[in-house]
Amino acid sequence: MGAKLASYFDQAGSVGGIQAKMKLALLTKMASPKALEVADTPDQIAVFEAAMTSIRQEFGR
Amino acid sequence: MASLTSRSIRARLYRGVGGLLVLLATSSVLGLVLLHRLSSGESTLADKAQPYLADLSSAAVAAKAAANDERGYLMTGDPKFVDEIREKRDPIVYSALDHASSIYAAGSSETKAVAAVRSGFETWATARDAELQQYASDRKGAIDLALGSNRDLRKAYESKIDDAVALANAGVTSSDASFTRTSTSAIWVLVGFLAFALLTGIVFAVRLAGSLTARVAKLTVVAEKLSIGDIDGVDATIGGDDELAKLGESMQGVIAAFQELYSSSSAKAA
Repeated sequence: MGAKLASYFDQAGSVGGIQAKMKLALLTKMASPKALEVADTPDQIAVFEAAMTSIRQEFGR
Repeated sequence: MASLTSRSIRARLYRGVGGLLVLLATSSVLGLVLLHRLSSGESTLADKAQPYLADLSSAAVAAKAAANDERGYLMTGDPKFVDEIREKRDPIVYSALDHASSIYAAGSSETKAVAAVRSGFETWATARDAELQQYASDRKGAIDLALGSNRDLRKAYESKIDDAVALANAGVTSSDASFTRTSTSAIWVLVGFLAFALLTGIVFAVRLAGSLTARVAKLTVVAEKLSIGDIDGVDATIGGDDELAKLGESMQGVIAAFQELYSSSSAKAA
């Protein structure tokens, strides 16, 4: 459960470190421990994808 | 238009308070209409029935006084009684009847009743004047007339006065009953409206309070935990689609960021 959602935090970490991870949590309203617990629903994945797009733009990668 | 369907707290407050104001305005307008109706009924009594009855009463008293003066003259032969009749009694009767006949519409039963009284009184007055003239030459004949046919004429117009008074009294009774009915219905309508407004206000307040208090309480608990740095398992998600729900959503984002910071720091430390 939530492996895909949790993987977005790894991606955010590689994009902008802890700041990007915090930004991802802020935008998705979910921290990585919680992301591991919830199901990878299409809706949640869409939310995380949109957040990652914003983070990549903000951190320039 | 959006505020009519919006679920925001502001829109709901506008709708609730606006609805109560509309109810209040409606009941006020209704109250004014009913008061106007009561006032109209009261005016009819004060402007028509009351002066009409007063005129009939004046005419009846003056006519009775004229009959007394007639008797006084027949008993004593003193011309002062005749002077009283011509200078005081008759003018008062005619003046009062003229005024009474101008109060209601020309074709009304009240005006017709006054005309009947006037006609009866005129007939009696004419016969009475002839009787008083006859007194100088034929005292007994004059007295016989006064106690006979002229008495019948007097009883006839007195009966017409009674009819006119009865008619006016019936109008007063009817107006009084109408006044009572209108005032009773006004009281019930206003009480009903106020009760409805009160009930609506209570339902509105209870529903608004019910939708706010539980969620505000949850956000308060979350804020208290955040204030002491307790972010473990804190969840600020609350239901609804209003301003409070948006506040909870924003708080949840901040909490999640703190939780992520805490989690990452813990992972690094390990």
